[in-house]
Amino acid sequence: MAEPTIETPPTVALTDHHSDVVCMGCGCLCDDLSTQQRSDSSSDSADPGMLTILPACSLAHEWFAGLMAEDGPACLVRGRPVSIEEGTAAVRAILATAKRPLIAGLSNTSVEAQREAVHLAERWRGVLMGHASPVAARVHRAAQAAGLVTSTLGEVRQRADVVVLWNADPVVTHPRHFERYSLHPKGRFVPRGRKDRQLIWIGSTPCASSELADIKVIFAPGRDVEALSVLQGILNGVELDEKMVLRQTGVSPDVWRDLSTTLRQARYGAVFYDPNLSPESAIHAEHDARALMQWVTLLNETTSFVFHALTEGGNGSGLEQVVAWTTGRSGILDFGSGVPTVLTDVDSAQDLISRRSVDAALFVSSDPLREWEPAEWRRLGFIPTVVLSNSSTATSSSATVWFRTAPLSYAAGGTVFRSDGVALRVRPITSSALPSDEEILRRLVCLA
Amino acid sequence: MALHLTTRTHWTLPIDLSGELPGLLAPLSPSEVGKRKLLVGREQVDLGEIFSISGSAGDGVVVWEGDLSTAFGIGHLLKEGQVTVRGSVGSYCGSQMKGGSIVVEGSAGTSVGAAMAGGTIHVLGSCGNDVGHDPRRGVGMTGGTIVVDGSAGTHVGRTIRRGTIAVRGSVGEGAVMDAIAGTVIVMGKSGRNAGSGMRRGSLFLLDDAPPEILPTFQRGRSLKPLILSLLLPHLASIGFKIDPSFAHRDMRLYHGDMLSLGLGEIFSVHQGDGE
Repeated sequence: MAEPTIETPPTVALTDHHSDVVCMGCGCLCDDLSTQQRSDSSSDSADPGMLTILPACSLAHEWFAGLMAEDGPACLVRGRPVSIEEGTAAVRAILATAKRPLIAGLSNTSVEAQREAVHLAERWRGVLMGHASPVAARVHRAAQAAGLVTSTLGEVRQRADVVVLWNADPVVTHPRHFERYSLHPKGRFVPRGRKDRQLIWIGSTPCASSELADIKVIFAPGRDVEALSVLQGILNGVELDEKMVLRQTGVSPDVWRDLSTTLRQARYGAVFYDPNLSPESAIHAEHDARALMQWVTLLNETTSFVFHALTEGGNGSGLEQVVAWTTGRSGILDFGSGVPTVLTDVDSAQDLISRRSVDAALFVSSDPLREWEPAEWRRLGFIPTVVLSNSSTATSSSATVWFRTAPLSYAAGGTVFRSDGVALRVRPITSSALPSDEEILRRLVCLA
Repeated sequence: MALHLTTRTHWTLPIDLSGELPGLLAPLSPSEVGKRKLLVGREQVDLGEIFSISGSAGDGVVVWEGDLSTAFGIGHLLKEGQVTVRGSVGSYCGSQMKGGSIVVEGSAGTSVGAAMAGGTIHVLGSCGNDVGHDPRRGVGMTGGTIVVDGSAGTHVGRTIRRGTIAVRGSVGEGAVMDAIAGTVIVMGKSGRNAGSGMRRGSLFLLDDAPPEILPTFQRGRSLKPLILSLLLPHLASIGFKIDPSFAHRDMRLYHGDMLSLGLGEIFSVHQGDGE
């Protein structure tokens, strides 16, 4: 038997300069970065320190540093280097014997790869994780229940004269949010930038962003829904029990009334909410987001307001859109019966694996084991796993089949969606002999 | 004699039992029942491979035995007959049922009695989230009765339009959220945001602890809810007994949710101001 061709892609040096580079390090998805490879870096392109990123942003640096892969074979089956053809054959064997394969971790890849993943789940009648995280799913469900008044971030930049941060700290979590979208830019209807804008911070734990606010309202921790009920009640003219308001929110009703008056006087307001700010807020994200969306809808009876959730980095927004336009559903989808059925009794891939209700798993550009408890690690060891990832991770190291793929926004291009639904074209800043996620997934779809 | 179906081994993959109703199984012999196809993951498997079969469903009674915590849709669209589960069941037990009765002797998963229109469900253990509510379609129950001897998760009776739910233990966040009408009784503690967005309907909180009432509910008078004197015998008839003295106790009434229609009622045995 002939020895398989082992593909070891060469290290390709970065070209000198790139502009309009997209960073997926946080939900801002800034598409105005410039990258420059420093002249002393030709000997070692895998050193993240050799790439200069402008404007300087710690999350952008961390993101690009994480994408710089070490050299190695393009495919490994049980740790043995093989050709991509052999790897795809091994995946076919896994999928053919599985009774319920799981396809997960799609939030860091391109829309094109996500579309192929949906086709793969449909062909092999598996389970597809159609959201970026359980928290993202909760906010999505809230939007489905309450309705969502929103806009593009460009509209916020051009129009918003009042910016409300609800339990959000973009200074830390989205470092360029103020600069690019919400606070500092000069817009058509806010020509003086920050001077024409009022920043209102509402939340329970003061943070770096609250220090910059013109108005601060600090309410009792975990009482978001109560506070929003009060604000909605004031807008609706509901007679509120003053003692109950003070006891439940920790804030005097007069403060809430003054705040409502200020908001009603806004020409155009934008509310930003971060469901991931704390573990507590993540748990209550569905109720909090629903109440916020209802409040914003009410504000639109007297003025214009829009709602935005500050999302995590990656392409989670694209995943939700792809799943919606290809299947007409959202959330975790089971194609077992041949048609997509929404699973409502599980929250995450971890749930499915810990219950052993899937018997094979394919992870795309994600490292779930990094966040999982050892017990789930062990359970994952019972089922065959396929991993598409650019670098060696805990998940790829324990995978049955590991395809080393070109990382999106560094060595592979594609389309991603910003949290406001704006599509951005991502161009690679270096070339790579490695295939992209999309190419591998398309091969796997063709196997079915 | 009832049809007995007993699991042969423990299955971790989900089993779709939504088509196995007493009316369909009644005319079949045990061997014919064993040849019925069930969806397990993505594969069609003979029912006889998963369950050992004895008896007949001629009398309209089907008894499932063993651990069925991965089986979903038991009693889906049930119209008549009786289903008993001697063990725990998975999600969507009794979903969209219109009549008949289901007794679960263990615990049940999420969406018990999702969007049910009639009949009764009695869970002797605890339930997951969304009792009476179908989150896939966003609709609640429109009739029938669900009683739970244990506790229940979040969103009990969400978007309920008609029917009754009674829970002996505690319930999670968002009980009777967005209710259109209907009645829910909670004997244990209730989580936050109870009654959020409810238009009509009644929520009885029979625990002595101070309830967490949203500020958009208005405190009403103290009264004896005589409706309980009609409701409690009905619940007792399906095996859910509540001390009849509750019907004669003074309860604090809260009206709301004023952000919605505001015709809903929360009755609390705790007479204070609420938390």
